Amino acid sequence: MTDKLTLAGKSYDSRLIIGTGKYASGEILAKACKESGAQIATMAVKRIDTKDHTDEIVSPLLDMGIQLMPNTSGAKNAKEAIFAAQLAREALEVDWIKVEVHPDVKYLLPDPIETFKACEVLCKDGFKVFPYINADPVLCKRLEDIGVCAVMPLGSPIGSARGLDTLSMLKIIIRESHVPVIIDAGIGSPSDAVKAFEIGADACMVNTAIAAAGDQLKMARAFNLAQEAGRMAYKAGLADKIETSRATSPMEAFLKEAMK
Amino acid sequence: MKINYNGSTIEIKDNLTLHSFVLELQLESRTIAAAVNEQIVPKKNWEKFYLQEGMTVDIFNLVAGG
Repeated sequence: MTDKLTLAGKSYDSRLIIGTGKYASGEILAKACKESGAQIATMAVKRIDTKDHTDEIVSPLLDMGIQLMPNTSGAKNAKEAIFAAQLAREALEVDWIKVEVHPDVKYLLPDPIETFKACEVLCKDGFKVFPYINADPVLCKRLEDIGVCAVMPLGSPIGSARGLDTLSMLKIIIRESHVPVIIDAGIGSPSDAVKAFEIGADACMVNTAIAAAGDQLKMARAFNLAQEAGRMAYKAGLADKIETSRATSPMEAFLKEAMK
Repeated sequence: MKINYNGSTIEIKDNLTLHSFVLELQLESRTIAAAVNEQIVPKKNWEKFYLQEGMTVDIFNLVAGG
């Protein structure tokens, strides 16, 4: 049996999802995506800049066969998120949508109430919904009940690169969830991604850690290896942490024999 | 006639369809969507949708953003 990621009825070899922000060009983004092995990428919906029509970077991803997961970033409330989702579906003929509602511009933390309201409407409208939320186990179960395809709890604020600040809550979410758990936001290093997979996350989303790296392609490759190593470790079964110790060699018996 | 396009007032010729307007802008249609007066106009209707004086046309694209 292969260990594939299944989201919205589709299977993927990679458990890494990439965000597309902050890359210098569509060409670099496409190369980084290829090095990362990611098969899913998220992008935003925005009004076209009337002075500059070179916004377009999605076509290279489409040509690579990447599954597009548009998001509603920029939406300040449920109404705007729903509108953005409908625009994205019309633009791409894709019904996946990552619901992001973060009116707070300082921490970019997701608004749970507006997110839930948007998800309710979008699930009924036939979208495959992926809500970006704080690591709130109760909210995750409520979203699961209304039919979201996965939950996307944050590790730490967007772009902070602080890793899994919310570790204890993430563990609860993973333990109790009946839908895939995609840890999103704040993953700052491949070791953070390894940790995310070691605790049982189904997938991980990464943007800044690759886009802002000194060598983006090398970092993308590092994350590729990290998702493989972390998942493998999880499936292998990590040794329990204990408060005392476990001897790994019979040193005491050897010394007693030698001193006789 | 004048319309509002993505926040700016512009002059366009009469009897222009939304489809023709998008073509004139040389936009990649694979990744765009359009709303007129805040109502999304499905792509299949663009060729039959005639722009009128004073309409607010917003065209959206899928862009980089995590």
